[in-house]
Amino acid sequence: MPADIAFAMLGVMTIGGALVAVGAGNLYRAVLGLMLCLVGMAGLFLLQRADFLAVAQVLIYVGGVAVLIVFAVILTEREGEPLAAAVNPRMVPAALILGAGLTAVLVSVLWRSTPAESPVADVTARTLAEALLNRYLVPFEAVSLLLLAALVGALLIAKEKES
Amino acid sequence: MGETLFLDLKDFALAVAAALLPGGLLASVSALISAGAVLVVAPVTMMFLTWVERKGVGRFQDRYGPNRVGPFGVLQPIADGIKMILKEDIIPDGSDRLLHNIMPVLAAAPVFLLFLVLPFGRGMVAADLNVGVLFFLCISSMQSPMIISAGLGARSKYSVLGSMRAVVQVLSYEIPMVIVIVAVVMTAGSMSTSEIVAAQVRDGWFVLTPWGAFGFIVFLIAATAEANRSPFDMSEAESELVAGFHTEYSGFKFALFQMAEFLSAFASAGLAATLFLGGWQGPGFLPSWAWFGAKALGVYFVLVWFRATLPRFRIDQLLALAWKFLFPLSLLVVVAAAAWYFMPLLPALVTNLVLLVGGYGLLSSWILSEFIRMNAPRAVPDAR
Repeated sequence: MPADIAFAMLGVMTIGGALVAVGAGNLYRAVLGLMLCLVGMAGLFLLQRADFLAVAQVLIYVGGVAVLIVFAVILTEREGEPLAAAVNPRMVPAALILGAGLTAVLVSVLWRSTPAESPVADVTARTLAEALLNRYLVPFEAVSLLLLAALVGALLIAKEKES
Repeated sequence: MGETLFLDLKDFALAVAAALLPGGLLASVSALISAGAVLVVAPVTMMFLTWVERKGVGRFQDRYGPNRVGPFGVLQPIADGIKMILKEDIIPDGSDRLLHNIMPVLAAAPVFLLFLVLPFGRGMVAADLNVGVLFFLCISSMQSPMIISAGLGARSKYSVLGSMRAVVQVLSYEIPMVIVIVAVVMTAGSMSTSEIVAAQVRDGWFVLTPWGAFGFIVFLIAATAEANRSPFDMSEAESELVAGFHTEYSGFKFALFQMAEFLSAFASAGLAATLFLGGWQGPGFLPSWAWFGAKALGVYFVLVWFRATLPRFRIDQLLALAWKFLFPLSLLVVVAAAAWYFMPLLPALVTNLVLLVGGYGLLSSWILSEFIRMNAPRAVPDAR
């Protein structure tokens, strides 16, 4: 099945990207691995027929956040030094603990849920917009207020340090 | 010159495939044919575009342009392609070899995806996504990480400066572009490119409304900047930065960056034609795909005209233009589009003209005074 092949390829891409992001010795390679992982996730969303989510994922994370991280890497780089990532010696125990926790959560979710009887309808921009601007209007606005506060706060902190 | 020439060709190919393959694969084959058509048409278009560009700029500068290879120099792109392949591939010492080698490919590959959502004619869109316009923006936003990686991988000052400029510019101009597109999406009631064309079949071309005319201009300026084209070609300002982010690239890798640049400019021209100029629709004496091609090439010709006519901006002027002029103007376009949608014709016209012409007057006088202030001789700071 084409969908299965696509799923396998995207899965390899996502996991491989994540591994590079965590394990690469070169900081810039790690950022590129993160981008690969994010694009792979967008592909997985697309495979689940969540077009809007996939496009928003690439637009915000690859086009925005990743570029921001790249800028941070460039601006903090020291002249002449290689872009070395800090490799945590306790990476393996951390990965084991986190992996065990995540597996526990996923297994418990799988345990409790029942398989859907009919295929889920496509999540289009229209259904998302209707949900966000009708039923979940208050939480939506609260989140945007929170983000605005974070933005203003970040500006304030950056400005204070400058003087 | 049939209206359904390309659709008939696809149906024929599908019929052949249906005879040879099991039925379950037919949907995949259909998608592959559409994608394959895009993959074949795009590079050929790019070769033709380089010819149009060189010939056009040549004529603007009172030269002939390429005229040696083939009649009117039309075979020049093929000669250029052969030359590019035969050139030595230089990998500078101290560069990041992996980045240096994969970035040209990664920069050129997403550009093909841009053509998937453009409706080339009636019923001729390779992937009619319900978030088509957003998909286009998302793919074009993927180019900035590629450009910056290409520049960074070379570990050359010119490349790094060029790529940082390119990314700052793309991020700044993306905002007015997206806001203007919001006006179109609001009016058409859909983000699907084919629905937007359908809305213009119903209501008339958007460029013929006051908000659409201003929106088209904002979109065109932002698209020129997004494609790193003159007068906004800061990232490769040859008088300052040699060739910007692709300074260290030679041979076919350089050609790939050129291809990405030409194709994304052409795709932006196609999107402008789709969003504002009614897409593929036009009088019936030409088939719909010919109308789309003519409109997209017309917009592209305006971009060539820009390049031949306008001197390059400075980076601070460029950012000021995006944030102090295009961004407020694009917000006014959204308000005007809403007024046009909800009001009867006469009050809508009055509101639109007051908002847009008044706003344009205020903003342009502000930006001009800013430009003059920026160019004023600066007081020398105290040497302490």
